[in-house]
Amino acid sequence: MTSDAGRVQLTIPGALLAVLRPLGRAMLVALLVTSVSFVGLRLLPGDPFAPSPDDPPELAHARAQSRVQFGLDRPISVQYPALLGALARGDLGHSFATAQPVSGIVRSAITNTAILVAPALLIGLALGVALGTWQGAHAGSVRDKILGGATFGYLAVPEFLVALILGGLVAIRWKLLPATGMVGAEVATAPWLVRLPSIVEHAVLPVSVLAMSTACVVARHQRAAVIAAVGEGFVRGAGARGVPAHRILWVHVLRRTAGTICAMAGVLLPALVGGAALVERVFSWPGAGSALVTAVAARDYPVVQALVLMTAVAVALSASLAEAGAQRLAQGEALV
Amino acid sequence: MALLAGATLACRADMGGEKTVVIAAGGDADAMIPMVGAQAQARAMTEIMFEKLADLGDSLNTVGDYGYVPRLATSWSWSGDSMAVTFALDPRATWHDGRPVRANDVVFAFQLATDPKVGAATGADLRGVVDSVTAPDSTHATAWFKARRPDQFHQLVYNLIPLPEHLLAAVNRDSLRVSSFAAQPVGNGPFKLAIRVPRERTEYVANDNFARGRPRLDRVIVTIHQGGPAAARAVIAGDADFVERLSPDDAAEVSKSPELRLIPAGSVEYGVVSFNFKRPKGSAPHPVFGDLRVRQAVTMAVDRATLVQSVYGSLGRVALGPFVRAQWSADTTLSQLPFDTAAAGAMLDSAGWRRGTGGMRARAGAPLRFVLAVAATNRERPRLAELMQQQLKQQGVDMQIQLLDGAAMQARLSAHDFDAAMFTWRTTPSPSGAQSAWGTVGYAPGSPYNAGGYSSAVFDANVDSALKERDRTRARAQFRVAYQAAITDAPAIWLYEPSVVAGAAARVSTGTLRQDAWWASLERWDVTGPPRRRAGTAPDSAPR
Repeated sequence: MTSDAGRVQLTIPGALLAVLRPLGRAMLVALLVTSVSFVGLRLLPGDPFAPSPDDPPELAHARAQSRVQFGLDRPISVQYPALLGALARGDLGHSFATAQPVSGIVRSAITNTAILVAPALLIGLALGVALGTWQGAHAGSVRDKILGGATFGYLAVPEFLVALILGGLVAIRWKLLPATGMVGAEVATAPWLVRLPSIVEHAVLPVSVLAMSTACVVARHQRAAVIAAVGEGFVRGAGARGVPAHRILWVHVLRRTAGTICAMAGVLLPALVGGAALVERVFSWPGAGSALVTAVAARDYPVVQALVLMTAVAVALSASLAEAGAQRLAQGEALV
Repeated sequence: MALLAGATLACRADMGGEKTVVIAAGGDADAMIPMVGAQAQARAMTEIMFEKLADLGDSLNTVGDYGYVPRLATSWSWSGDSMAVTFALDPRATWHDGRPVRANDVVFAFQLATDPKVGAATGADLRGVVDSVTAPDSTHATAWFKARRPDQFHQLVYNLIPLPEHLLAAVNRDSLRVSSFAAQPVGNGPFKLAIRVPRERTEYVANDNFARGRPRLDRVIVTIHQGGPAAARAVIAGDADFVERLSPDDAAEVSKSPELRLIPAGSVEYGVVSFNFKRPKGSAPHPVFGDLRVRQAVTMAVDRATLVQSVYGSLGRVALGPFVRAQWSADTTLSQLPFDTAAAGAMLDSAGWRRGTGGMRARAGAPLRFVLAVAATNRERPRLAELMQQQLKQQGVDMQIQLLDGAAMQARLSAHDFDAAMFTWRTTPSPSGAQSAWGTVGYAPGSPYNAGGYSSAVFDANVDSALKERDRTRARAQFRVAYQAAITDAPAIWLYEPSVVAGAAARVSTGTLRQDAWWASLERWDVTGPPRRRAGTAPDSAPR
C-alpha cells in the first residue's frame, strides 16, 4: 500500500493479479451463466414433472409429488435466491431425473469430456501446426493447394455427420472399433489398467473426429502465420548466417508463431467442447455434452445449471491460462 | 504395453466363464426403489431385483386372479366375500442381505406406497382399491379391499412390491428417492445390484440364494444410451447383447446380421391424432374439430393402412380404438370409420367447408386449416405426419406440422393448447386406463389426459360399468359399446399400434418376452453361443 499526496493506493503484486484476474473473470462468468440458464430453462415450454402422455395415468400423482419435493411449486423469486445460496455453499442439489447428487453427475461427465477434449486438442494442435507449417513453407505449390482444399472441405462438413459416417463405417460395418460408450461393459468395473485399453479403443473414433477439425482450423491459421514470418528479417538473417532451412522453419519460425497458436488454443477450447456435445451423442460417450442434451430434454434443471456452470468456468479458466501463456511467449520472444 | 497386456490377461483369467448379458437402454431409471420411480425404465431396472407377490401370466389377463403366476407368494386364498386375499409367502425367500422376507415387509410396503409423502407412482391406484394390509403371522399377509372389482387382484399385485422394513423403516420418507437405500437398494429377486453409475451403467449379479433357484446368467449389465436409436446402435455394432425396442429401420439392419436376431416383444401402446374439442386454451368449441362431421371426415380422409404400412412396414398395425390388442377387452370386430375420400368430401361440403381456388377448402372466408403438434421423440411420428399432410391436402385440408420435443408436447397437452396432437399412449395390461385417457373424468386443467376434452355419456357409463363388472363376458360387452362410441365420435384418429420387436445377440437365449415387460423372464435367459465380438477384454461366453 502506498500514499501519494494524501491518496491511498492499493498495490497488488503482479503475480497475485495474474491469478486473481482469471478467477474474477471466472466468477463473473459463473454468475452470468447461472442467471441465464436459470431464466432460459424456465422460459422453455415444458415442466420437469409434467405427466407424460407416454406414461400410465397413475403416474400423474407421483410427478406432482416430486414437483413439490423439489420446490418447483414455489415462486421464481424464491427459487432463484435459494439456488444462488445453495451454489455459494457448494450444494448443486439432486437430479430431478435420477435423484442422484448433481455433483457426482457433473464430476463424472466433465472428466469424461476432458478425456475426449484434451487429447483432441493436443493432437489437433500438433497435427495442425505441422500441416500449417509445411503448407506455409510450400505456399502456392500444388500440394499446398490440395491440402488447403482438403482442410477447407473438412471444415465445411458438420462434425456430427463426420462422426456418423466414421462410426457407421469403422464401427458398425467393419466392426474394427466400438461404436458406443466409453469402456467395454464387461470391464467397466475392472482395475484401471484393464480398463485403459478399452477406454483408448472407445476414444479413438470420437477423438479423431474432434482432433481432425481442430487440426484443420489450426493448419489454416498456422499457414498464414508461417507465410508472414518467412518474409521477416530474422529469417533472411538466419539464412544469410548459414542456418539450415529446415532449422529456420521448424525452430525459428515455429517459435515466432507459438504465441498465436497458444492464444488460438484458448479460442478453440470452447468450440471443441461445443463440438464434443454432438460427437458424444453420436458415440454415446457419457460426457458433459451428452449429459447436457439429455438433461435439457428432461428439463432436469439442477443438472443443466450445474453442467453449464462448471463447463463455462472450466472453459473460462482454460482460456485465461492460454491467454496468459500466449502473453508470456510474446514477452519471451520480445526479450530474445 | 506389456503391462497392459498382462493386466488384460489376468482379468481374462478372473472373469472367464461368466455368463454376462449387456442390455442397452435408451435412458436411465429415475429411482431405484420399486413403486417410487415414475418412469417406465425404473420399473424394468427395479423389478430385476425385487419380486412381486404374484405376476401377470403371458395372457395378460387382469380380471380376477386367472393366469397369475406365484412369485414371492407361493399361493393365495380368498375370503368368502372376495373382500380379502391372504398370501402365503415363500418361507425360503430372503432379502439380498440374508434376512428372511416376512409379512411385515408386505405391510410396510403398502404403508410406504400409500403415504403421500413418498409420492409413489402406484400409491394412488393402491389407495383406490386396497383399504389395508395386515400380517396374521410372519409368513402370511392379508390385503383388505375397499370394494369388489374385477381387477382388484391385478391392481394389488401389479402395484405393490414388498420392501425390506428393516432397512427402510428409519429412512425419512420425504427424501426416500435420495436415500442411501436408493443408491444401493437391497432386493429379494433373482439378481442383486452390484454397481450403479447413474446415467452410465448398472450391473447386477446373480442371487445365489434366490428362492426359486439361481438364475442362469451370472451378470446383467444395463448400459445407458441417449435414446432408443443409440441403444439400438450399440447392439447392431456388437457393443451390447439386447435392446428392448428397435425402430423399423434398425430392425431391418438387425435382420441382415447373422450375429443378431429379432424377437417379437408385443406392445401395450397405441398412437393417435387427438382432436381438441375446444379452442386452444379456451372453452368455446373448436372452429374445426368442434364439429362431429369434420372430425369424422378428416378421419375418413386419412388412409391409415397405407400410412402405417409406409412407416412401420410389418412392425405396425392400424389402431382400432382406445385400447390395444394385447388387452383382454380388445375387440377387433368393431365397426371402423372407413377410408372413403368421396364420403369425407361430402361430409366436409355439408359442414360448409367447400373447395375454393387451388382446391383448398374454406368456410365464410376462413380456410380449413389446423396445426398438428407432433411429439418428435422418435423418427416414425414425423414421417406419419408428413404422409398424413399430403393425404389431407388432396381433400383440401391444410394441415400444418409442428414438431415438439417430449417436454414441450407434455406442456401443450396439459395446457390443452393445440388443434390436433399426435402422440403415443402407453397403457398397462389393464383396460382401466381408457377411463382417464378418454373419459370425462380425465379432462382437467393441467392434465394431459383426455387433453382434447372428449365427453361422452355413453363412453363414460359403459367404461365405468365394465370396470366394476366381475363377469368378463359382460364386461367385454360393455367395453365394446364404449369403444364403438369412441370410434364413432372420432375424438381422435386411432392411428397405429406398433408391434415392438427387440433386438438380441444370437448367442443370448431369451425365450418369449412378455408384451408389457421384457424383463419378466430374465431369470430364465441364458448365454448359449460364442462370445460377443466386442466383449471388451473379458470373455464371458463359455456356456456352463
